[in-house]
Amino acid sequence: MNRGPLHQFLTGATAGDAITGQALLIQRWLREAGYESEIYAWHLHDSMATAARPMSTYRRARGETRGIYHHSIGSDVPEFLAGRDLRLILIYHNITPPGFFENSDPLRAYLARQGIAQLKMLQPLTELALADSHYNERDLLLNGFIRTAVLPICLQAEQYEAAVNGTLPETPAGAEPRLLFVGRLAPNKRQEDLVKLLFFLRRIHPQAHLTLVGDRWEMGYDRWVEQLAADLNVAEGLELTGKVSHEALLAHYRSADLYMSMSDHEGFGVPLIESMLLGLPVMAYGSTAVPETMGDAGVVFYRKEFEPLAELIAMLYEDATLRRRIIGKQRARVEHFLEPQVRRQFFSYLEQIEA
Amino acid sequence: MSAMESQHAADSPWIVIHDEQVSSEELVRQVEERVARRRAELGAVEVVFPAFGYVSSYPDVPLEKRVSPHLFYYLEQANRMPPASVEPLLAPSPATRAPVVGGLWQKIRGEMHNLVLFYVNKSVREQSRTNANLVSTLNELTRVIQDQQAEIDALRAEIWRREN
Repeated sequence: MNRGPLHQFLTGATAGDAITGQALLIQRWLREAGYESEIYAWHLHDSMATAARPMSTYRRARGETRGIYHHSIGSDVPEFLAGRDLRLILIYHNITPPGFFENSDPLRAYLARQGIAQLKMLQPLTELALADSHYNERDLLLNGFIRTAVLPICLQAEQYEAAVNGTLPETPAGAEPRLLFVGRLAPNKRQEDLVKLLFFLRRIHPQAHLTLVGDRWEMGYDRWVEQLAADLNVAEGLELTGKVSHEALLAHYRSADLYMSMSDHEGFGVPLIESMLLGLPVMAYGSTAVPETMGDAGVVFYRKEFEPLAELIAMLYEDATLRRRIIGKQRARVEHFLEPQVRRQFFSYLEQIEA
Repeated sequence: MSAMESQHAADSPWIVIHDEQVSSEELVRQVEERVARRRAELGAVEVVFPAFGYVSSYPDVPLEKRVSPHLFYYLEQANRMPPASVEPLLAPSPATRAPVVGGLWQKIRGEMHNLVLFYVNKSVREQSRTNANLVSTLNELTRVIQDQQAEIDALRAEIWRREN
């Protein structure tokens, strides 16, 4: 059955990016349900050249009334869509507050402010506003969106089942426990706090190791973090991998002992649930949407007290039965973020507006 | 204390675990015990960590004008300096409406604009960070001056007391 066109619009499309991943998944769902569905991006990375199209090539088809727009930062896309007379299904992924970048990346701060301001402009164009989390939904309600709902980020379990063949990252022999954090190097992610934690952890376990996986960006925060590690004499226990392939990412998850997040701002926190799916115990600072994503799983803490946290990591590392119980609870939690459940939610929202 | 720490109920344990065998309270207790044992064994660590992007606050202006008021005037101006701004605004060009070549011209302008923006942002953010560091340094130095002035005043008062 041909249900007509329902395309998605993104500011940027890059392979490995969480928003792009979600757009690809929704595209598959829509196509399987009989919609014509393409992805249009304002900034199209070469890695997505065959999977998405440049925004400039979009032409509204006859009878096309709706579009899906993923909003996460200021751009020209909202104005572009306003000029196409489409009713929008807005998927809001949260905007990192500009204050995190004010003194380090003025352009990023400007785009964040612009993105927040554009919520007001998007409100009258929007038929249904979906947020990754209740935390994000609050922004929508504050900006006058009336019809809102939560559609969490969805993991495709089969993408995490790939065998690790010779791609295990090289870590120094005996480097344990191994901590992992995944996310672009950025001030709001607070990788620096993980280095401070490593300083205390290495007093307990001198071979403790921290791997920071994520785009090193270009604003110098990565160099600052490395310098801090050198100043604290923990540089040999720190590895910054930069952006890695999906296979390498899986290898990092599988070779780590604990996923640790000190992030001050998360609209959802995809790596938290990826860790849960891959059986890695999670400890996370309870900022923003993190407690909601964690639910009753893992360990959430509300103070950045490095010395006790280092002891807690050591406890989890040394207590295999406690670790097993945490992993068990996490496996139950991650079911909420797997495809059948989230897909059903998505189509029930779509049916409501089409009714 | 961050906003997040203050939002979390003050009477709740700061570490939360949902486990059938160990409660959050018990986990906090065990962690505190381990910290105490470790300190007894290895000694306490007093370390002040730097924080990325931290800008030291403007010092309190003393009621007694022992330090030149110009210092506080200019320091306040420096602290009030708004963060540097970079806006990706591309000025419109009528030539982009020209048939055939207009679209190509707009694409070239866009790409050139992005390139310029990349380097301008890079330069501005370095300068912005330098400014923040300098203002923080001046704030801290002013505090040192204030503390030293207070110490000098106290010593002078002591000398005066002993001499009289």
